[in-house]
Amino acid sequence: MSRPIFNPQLTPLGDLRHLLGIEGLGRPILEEILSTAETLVDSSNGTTRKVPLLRGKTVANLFFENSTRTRTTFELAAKRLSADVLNINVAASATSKGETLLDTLRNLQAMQCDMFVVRHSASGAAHFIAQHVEPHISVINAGDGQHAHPTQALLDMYAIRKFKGDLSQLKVVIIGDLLHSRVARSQIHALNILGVGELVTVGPKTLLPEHFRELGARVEHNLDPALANADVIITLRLQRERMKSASLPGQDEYFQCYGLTQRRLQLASPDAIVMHPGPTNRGVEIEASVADGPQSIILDQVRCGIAVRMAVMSITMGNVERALHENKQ
Amino acid sequence: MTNHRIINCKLSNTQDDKATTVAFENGVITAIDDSVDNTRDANTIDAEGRHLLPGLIDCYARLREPGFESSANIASESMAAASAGFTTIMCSPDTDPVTDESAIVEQIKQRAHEANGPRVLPIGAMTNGLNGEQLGELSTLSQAGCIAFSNADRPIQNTQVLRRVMEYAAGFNLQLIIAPQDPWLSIGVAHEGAVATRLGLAGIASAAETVALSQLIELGYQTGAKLHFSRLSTARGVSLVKQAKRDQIQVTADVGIHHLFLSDIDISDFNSNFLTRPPFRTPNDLQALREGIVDGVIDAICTNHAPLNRDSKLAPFSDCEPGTSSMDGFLPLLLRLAAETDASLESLIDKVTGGPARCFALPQGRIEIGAPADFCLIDTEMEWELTEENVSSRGKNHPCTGWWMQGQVVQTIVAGRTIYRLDQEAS
Repeated sequence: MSRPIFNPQLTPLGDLRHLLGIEGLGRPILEEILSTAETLVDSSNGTTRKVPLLRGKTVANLFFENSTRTRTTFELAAKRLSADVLNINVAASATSKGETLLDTLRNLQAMQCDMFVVRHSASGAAHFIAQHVEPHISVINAGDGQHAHPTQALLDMYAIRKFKGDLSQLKVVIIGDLLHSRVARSQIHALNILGVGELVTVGPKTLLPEHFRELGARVEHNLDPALANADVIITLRLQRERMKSASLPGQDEYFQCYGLTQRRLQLASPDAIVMHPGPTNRGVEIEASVADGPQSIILDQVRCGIAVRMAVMSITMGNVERALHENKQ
Repeated sequence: MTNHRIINCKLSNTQDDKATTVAFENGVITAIDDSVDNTRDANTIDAEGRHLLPGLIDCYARLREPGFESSANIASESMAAASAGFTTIMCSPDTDPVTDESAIVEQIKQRAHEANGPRVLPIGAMTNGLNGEQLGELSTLSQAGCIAFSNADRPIQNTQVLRRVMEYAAGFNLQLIIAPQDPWLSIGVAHEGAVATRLGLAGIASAAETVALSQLIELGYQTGAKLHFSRLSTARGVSLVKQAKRDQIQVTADVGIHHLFLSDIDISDFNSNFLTRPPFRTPNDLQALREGIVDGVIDAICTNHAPLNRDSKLAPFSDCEPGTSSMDGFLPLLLRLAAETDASLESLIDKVTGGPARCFALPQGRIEIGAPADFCLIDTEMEWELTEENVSSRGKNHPCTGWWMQGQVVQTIVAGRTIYRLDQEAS
């Protein structure tokens, strides 16, 4: 009944070829990405250096779904690696003319791209694309439906380590709409692979099903007690269409039950950090004074994004080249 | 017409290994004799000791014609069915146009006649255009040749409409085939459980089936309609049907063959060949479905055949069309089920012969004097690999691609006429 087990993200040598999700990656691969990201940051001023690692390569940002922040940081990361960057807003072009995803892909391959950074509204879109690209192309998932957003999770891990150090000593609390969150899924996998001390998810039962337990997180529906001794608090963005639906009565009640306020922040460890993948809905999932307060590292997360994405791109591209080289011999 | 004989065959309902001769004439079985007979002439088929089964009956398949010929057509799927040992196929009404008028029924019958394959029995639409609002012309369609009525995979939302359809059908003693799927709870692409949560896929709760079943069973009780539940998928669903049968409500049920082998775990890395309706559920559900087969709660096993062209599966998981190609390899899977469960091979074969024949009052499905001469001659030992190349259906969306199969259909006979022979296939 079983098929041969293989990991679509890895080369035959076991190296990272595509980054489609965090699940299924070993700790050494995650550590390699995080430590590579560190080497790309100039320790004197905290900015990333321009390096020639991807010179002569073309990176296509394929965004089938709107995004500003993620696309911009990917673009910056590619440029700091000296790659040529193509930004393709597919939502507005090809697919609206009835071209299938595969057609779009084939056309881009013909333009000799070396890497696709993909965002798509369907879970599994990045896996699908990775299955259909030529062997010299690397696919980076920049968010697929509700499945995964691995670079976001990696930059969050980078930020947590930078501010809080060893994960095994930390209690991390993720609050909000986990059901529809690709970020939360990737964070849960990353935290578990890196050996987090304690991981608690909190949200209304309609947006946090019991099955999250099986992903390796404690599931709670009452926020205040869950915050006790928390070292890291991650609030998730509540999508506008969920604010008033069968799943939630409205944003006021949501804020009352699950909004991260100054009062609630005091329930956590005094030196807890507050994170959010952005963009924030102030007054819905987080109080403005918390988002802007001294414990918030929301802007630092964005800064970490460039180095981590540079690390992912340079590692995967290097591995693809190595695999092709081995293959030739 | 001359007298034809199949000699040296083993019938599944005989306990010993004695070779039997089955004779037929004018498409009807005329004699069954277990005395050794080695005389051969041009009208003799030597079974060489192989099993002779009644021709298989599929009570739910999609042949895609009219309307979806880019995926398959009656001719292509008739041949696929014949090579899988089927001699009777009941085809679903979700064609385009929908099988809701006599002309469409005639067209399907005509195309099946031209295909010269298995008997094709159209299932008519319960509501016009499967719209769930306007009662279909059930009596007219029945006279045109519809064997039963269904709303395919489009559940009727309005319970008053559902009740009226049942009442009307009961008045004419017509059989209904209903896929128990709650219209709202069944929106999604995968079983709501750990796998869907992990992959971020929209989940279909088990309650999508059980809520619908509870409603249908009560309406069935109220209206006296003859209900056949199509393609059960959950453990709780099996219990509900078991209870309904205990309560003497007129219900029967089937399960799709792949639901007896596959679970949501098989979706693995978004393999779109595992996207189907109802979704593959958990290994526990799979086990309960198998038990439902063994203890007789489930009367029949269908293919739930849904051939699809390549493009329909070439997209991210949730953007693909649901359905599996499932004619090919049907018999080997049945044999495997016999090896993996407490069910005897004979009782399993009954689920695709006598079982559906009893559900739908068909004269086929048995090897008895006076029964139609529909047979399927099988080799239970032959081993082969199911590959995309040897899938006979035009739909290559088979989830068991790469599986080793044991058992092969050697010859298929409908009304005394051979419609498939393995040795001719090879040459």
